Amino acid sequence: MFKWKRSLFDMQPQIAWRSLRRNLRRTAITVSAVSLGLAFAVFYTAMHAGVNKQLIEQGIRFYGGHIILEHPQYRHAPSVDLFIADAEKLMSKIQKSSSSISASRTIINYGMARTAYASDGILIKGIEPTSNGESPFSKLIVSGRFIDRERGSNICMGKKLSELLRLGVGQKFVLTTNDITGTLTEGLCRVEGIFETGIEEIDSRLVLAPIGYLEDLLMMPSGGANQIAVLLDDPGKQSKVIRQISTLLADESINLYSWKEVLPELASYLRVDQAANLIFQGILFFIILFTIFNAILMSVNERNREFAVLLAVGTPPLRLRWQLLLEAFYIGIAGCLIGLIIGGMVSYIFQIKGLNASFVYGNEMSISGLSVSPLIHAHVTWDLLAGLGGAMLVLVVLVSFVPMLRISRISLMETLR
Amino acid sequence: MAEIVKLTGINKDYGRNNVIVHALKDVNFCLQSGDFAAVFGPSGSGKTTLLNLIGGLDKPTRGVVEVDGIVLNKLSMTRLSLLRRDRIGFIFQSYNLVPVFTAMENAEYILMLQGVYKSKRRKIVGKLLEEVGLGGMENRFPRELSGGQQQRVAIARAIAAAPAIVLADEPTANVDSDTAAGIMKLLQRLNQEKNITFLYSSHDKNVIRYAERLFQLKDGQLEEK
Repeated sequence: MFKWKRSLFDMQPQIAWRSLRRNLRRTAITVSAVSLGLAFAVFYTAMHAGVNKQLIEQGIRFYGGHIILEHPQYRHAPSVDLFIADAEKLMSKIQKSSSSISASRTIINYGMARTAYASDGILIKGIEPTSNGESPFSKLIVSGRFIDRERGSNICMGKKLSELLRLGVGQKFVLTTNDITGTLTEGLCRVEGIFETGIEEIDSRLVLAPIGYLEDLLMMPSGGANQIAVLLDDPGKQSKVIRQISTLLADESINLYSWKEVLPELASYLRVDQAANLIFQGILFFIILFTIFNAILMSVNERNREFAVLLAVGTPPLRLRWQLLLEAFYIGIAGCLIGLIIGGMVSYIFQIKGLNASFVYGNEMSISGLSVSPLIHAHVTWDLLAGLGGAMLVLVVLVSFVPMLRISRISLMETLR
Repeated sequence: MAEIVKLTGINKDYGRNNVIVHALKDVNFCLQSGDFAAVFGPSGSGKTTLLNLIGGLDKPTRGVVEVDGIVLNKLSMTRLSLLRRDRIGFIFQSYNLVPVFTAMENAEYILMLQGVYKSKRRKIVGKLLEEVGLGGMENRFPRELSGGQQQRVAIARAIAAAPAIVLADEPTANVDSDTAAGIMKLLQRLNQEKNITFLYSSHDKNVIRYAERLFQLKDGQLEEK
């Protein structure tokens, strides 16, 4: 009786291995094609992921958090009177549920800033300067310093707004807005710091004030907020945390939004960018696989006579296909390991040191309205390495199927003549 | 004695550029178990075609081919492959050993295909290689062996699985006359000692003289001498 399974693993792995060793140059070229292609794909994807990570982090920091909690009607008609009254209590409830979550509250309103020289419409945000770690605005201060208290009328504003109002650090302006009852109210604010983000909309409109000051000015109940921003240590757990918070706040009349819903433009940009990245990787993989396909096809054509003899003496065609599959698998494993090591190491170096892309983009780079540092840090993860390595290995094995099928078309009569 | 090969009314035509070549014409042929037979004839007389038909590598245009009681004509590729593995041994003119295999591995290949355990097949093949005069050369690769030695490995491969018949197409064409004589004596000895049926082709008179039964192919027609 023919012991098929045992026989497949008996000599065929040896034949495959030795066949690869027999033509070392061709094997080396094929393995190099796989490894260099994969290394490039890993590096490119890691750099790309780095830029996207920076963008998402910036967007989340500037515009809120990974998850935003709001009054159910606030998203459709933002108005200061649509607030969460017991925001502080809810925040502490959320933060208690996990150590990897931090939350902060924000009061948001529109108003008018007026000086002796000019006046302009503004967006005023009441923030907790010390919550959720260091504010991204604190790093963007170009004059003065960032607000560090939750009370008092000292504020920070965008550079373009300060220029329009001809305000410098230490100078005052009148803030006119409406409180939660709809009544006009005024306050005198002093400029503590001026920031510059590079984003027109922020630099020409935004005023950041201590949340306590706005609570008083807008008659907002203490501990209330228009938004609660939740920041996650691991953004990958966003869906899980949304489910967790939804359960936690099931009895509350509050809506939850992911950052993708809060920043739809950035989310769309990332989706389009991801698609473009996939197309680029597809083309790259296609070129690599075409090289491998040719190499395997050549190796089959060169060994037509050898295969014909093996078929003639009674080798089932399936067995020879198995041998070629093993050869492709060995090439794939070697190429992927080398490629992952090279690509992973280079990406890791650029993750630590960063790549200064100012020679391409200049000193300022803006994507989807967000300013990105030209010092790009790669973002390499085990998932990225496993995904690309696995995909490459599967594709290398798959492309060997076409040359494999040629085996059954070998004419024994013609070849053995 | 049992009939190992039986050809009945075999015709084989090849068509090229609308010209039909009749390689074999109404061939009737029978080999008994233990025969040591040769087919001779000039180049292009159809010797290889005849061996290919018996070996199941080709199919006749008309007629019936039987090997060890099995009609080959309607067998599938897989069945033919299994038949060749289990009942037919091949010796080729240019040895056709697997270059990445040692002498031992080449000779044990068919036993491996049959699923024989490594220890058992090593024992069988080790003894066989001794018998064909390759004791001590088991671990050499084909490139490390002379033409005659390679052909001996091919012989060991052909008989290792104890087939019903061994087909040898011009087995001595690529070696010098002394080596050719050595190979033919070896085949003759294996035939006598192990009762293996051999059918070989040649156009060399010094080689065909070893045969006990002799067939001449001329213009596609077979005649026993």
